[in-house]
Amino acid sequence: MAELAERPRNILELKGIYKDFEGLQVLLDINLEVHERERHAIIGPNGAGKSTLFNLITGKYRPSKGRIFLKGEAITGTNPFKLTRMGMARSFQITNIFRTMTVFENVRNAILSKNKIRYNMFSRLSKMDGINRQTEQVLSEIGLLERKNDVAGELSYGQQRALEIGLAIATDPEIILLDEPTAGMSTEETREAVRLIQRVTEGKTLIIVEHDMEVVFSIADRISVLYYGKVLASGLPGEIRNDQKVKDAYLGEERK
Amino acid sequence: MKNRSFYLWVGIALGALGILFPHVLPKFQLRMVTEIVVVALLVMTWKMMLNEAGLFSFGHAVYFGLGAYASVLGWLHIKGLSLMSGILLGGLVAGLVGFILSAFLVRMSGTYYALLTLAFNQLIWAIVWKWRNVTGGDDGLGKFPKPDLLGISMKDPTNFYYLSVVLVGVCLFFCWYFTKTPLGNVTKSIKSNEERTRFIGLNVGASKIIFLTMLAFFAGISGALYAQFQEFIGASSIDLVMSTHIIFMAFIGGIGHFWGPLLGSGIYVYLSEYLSHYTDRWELIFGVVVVILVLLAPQGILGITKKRK
Amino acid sequence: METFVIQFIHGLVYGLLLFLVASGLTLVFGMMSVLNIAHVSFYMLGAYLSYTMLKVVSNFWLALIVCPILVALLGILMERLILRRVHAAGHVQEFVITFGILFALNEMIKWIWGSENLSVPIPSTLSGSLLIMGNIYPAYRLFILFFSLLILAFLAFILMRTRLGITVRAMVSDRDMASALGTNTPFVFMLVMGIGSWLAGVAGVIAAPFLGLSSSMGLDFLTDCFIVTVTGGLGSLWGAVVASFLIGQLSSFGILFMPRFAIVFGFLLMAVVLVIKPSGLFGEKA
Repeated sequence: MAELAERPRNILELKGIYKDFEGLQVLLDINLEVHERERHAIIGPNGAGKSTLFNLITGKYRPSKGRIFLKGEAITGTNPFKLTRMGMARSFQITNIFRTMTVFENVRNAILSKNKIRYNMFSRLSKMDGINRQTEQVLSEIGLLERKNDVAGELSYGQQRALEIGLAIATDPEIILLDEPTAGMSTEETREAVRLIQRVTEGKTLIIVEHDMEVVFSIADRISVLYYGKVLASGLPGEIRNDQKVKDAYLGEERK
Repeated sequence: MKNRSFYLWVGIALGALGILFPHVLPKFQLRMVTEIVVVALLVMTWKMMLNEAGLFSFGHAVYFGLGAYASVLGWLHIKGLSLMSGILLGGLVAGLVGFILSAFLVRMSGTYYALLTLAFNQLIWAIVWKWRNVTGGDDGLGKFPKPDLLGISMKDPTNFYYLSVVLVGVCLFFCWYFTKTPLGNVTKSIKSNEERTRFIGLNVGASKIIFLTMLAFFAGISGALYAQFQEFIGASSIDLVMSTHIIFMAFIGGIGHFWGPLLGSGIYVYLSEYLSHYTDRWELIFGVVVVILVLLAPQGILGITKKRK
Repeated sequence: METFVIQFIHGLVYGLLLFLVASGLTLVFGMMSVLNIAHVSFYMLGAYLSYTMLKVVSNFWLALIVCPILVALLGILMERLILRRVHAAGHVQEFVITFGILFALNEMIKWIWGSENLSVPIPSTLSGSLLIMGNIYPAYRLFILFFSLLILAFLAFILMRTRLGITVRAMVSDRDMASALGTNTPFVFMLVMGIGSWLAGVAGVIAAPFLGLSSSMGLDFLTDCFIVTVTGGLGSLWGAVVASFLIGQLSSFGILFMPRFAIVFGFLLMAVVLVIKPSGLFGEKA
């Protein structure tokens, strides 16, 4: 009886997703299920279509065919900003922060959005204590509180990546998509990033694209393997590790 | 900003001068200062469109002219329309047109946007010019009422001067204050990284439209004030040449500084008054000077552009 | 029925003139990513230069040969001295400078030639009219039609069949790649600029007897030119072809139905296209 009650709900579903760009087939017949509150990693060699998949889920591109469901609701082709308001948030593989604004302002942008303060042209920003507090809270979670008045473009790479994640979690999303969050990081920075990610995604759904297998196996509850636009396998880390198809295609080459 | 107190002091100095002017300047000069102040508001709205929204408009005179025409038509045809209501009417009409245009233009990239503003300027100018029955075409509209404000006659240049300074001052203050509000912040973040702004849940298009509508509104107010100042309004207030002058004024004054538009407006009004005595072609000289200025000092005066990181 | 045919030919003529000018504009943008707002001045300059030349030599054909070349030289000069530098500085500077040049050239023309309307005589060999479907139609306009088509056919031939043309098309498509493959980018830029300005100059010379010269001819043409370029898509020659044809027809038939506000039709077309496809009919850069 207990097992039945615990059957996980799918927070995200992709059904029959295809994507081509000017004749080039990038994704073919993708079917994916992400359970609520799970940590789901998507791995695959370069060019397998991972970022494209992310862009499709988060509304940057429209799929050529197929449908996407968020909490059971069809979201195919919905605008990114609406998706964020529905509880989805993402980070970018290539750091996409507000370079000309300070660290504090960066996070505050997201906090304001979360609090639905968008078109207000009468209140004074500096006097919004609640906003400021929430901003500082996120800043301390990502470890950038001391650097709050620094211009974002001047941070070190690792700090920018932390801010990148910070922007994703500041809107308090239910489902977080991180696109290669540890790209370009040293071993130590990577470990810190993993700790950060585990902390901030506590109780939320996480979909993470990663190349670093250590990161993947230390975070993921389930893994999906993307290979040349198709899902090769999808399941528990142990299953994936032992899957022959996967071993042949990918794990052998990519072991870090 | 380390310059904050500097700006404050400039503001205070200007304020003091502002109050003193009518008592020290001859009528003619006072009128020039009034004109400078009214036009400065217009130039400020253009500058803000560039600086905050990153949009270069070749057709800003549209809002100025429509605001002027709307208010004048109001004073001519609506019996007993008060001064402030007429000015407000001008602002609202300009704002409405701004809303419609920006709803259409907002999805365009910078280059398309610029081209389209130019094209729309021509279109609206042509309509105004040809619709003689309503707008007087080339001859324009004059002889419209100049209602008193709170019982004070606006025909006295001093009174009108004070009205302009106060009204423009309020509008300029709001423009400044805007940058400290959440919507002002959204505008800033769009400029910093439009894509990320979308992905943190903000409707970029809607924010731009609201911002641009607000700017059009203020430009319309400037137009309405100008119409009363001139006691005349013609098609030349809505044509491409006027748009060009706005651009030139903005750049001469410096688009990187808050008071730039006032400076640019001042230089322009003075030069147009005095240079035109010497040569018919002063506009050409003015234009060439601005172009050379932009060529030689793109970073110096014009720091705030998309290229600045 | 005859009215329809006559108006259609009118529309073709105007559309071709538009294309001659717009093609240069869109090509330069496609190649160099620089929007040369001053481009329309070449059209105006071509017309005014031919006026002066005709006062001196009275030979239309000579003017047709010489004036566009002068304009082309000016275009090349402008490209080397100004446009190259401007692009690096950024969009804002690009707008202000090219616009300033348009403005300056406009004023200079007014200065040198005056602001009154001038007229250029139709060459005697081409004056007279033909009977088309029972209507008298000026021969000169037909000349514009056929001559423009001839030039365009020539242009198409160069672009499609010659090595140079293919290079140009490659560069418009993907400049970095083309330059990595070893094409002499600066030279091709110069060439394209020269040809674009030349085309605009030709348009000015052949339009002059037909439309007359006025100090606002540049600005009048500018609007339609921009509408064509934007509707067709910046950087797309095909777009310019289709758009100039459509705008030419709308202009011609529009004047028939709503003479005072015919200008609105072009705008409506542009608005409709842009709502559906914000980057224009065939444009890529949205």
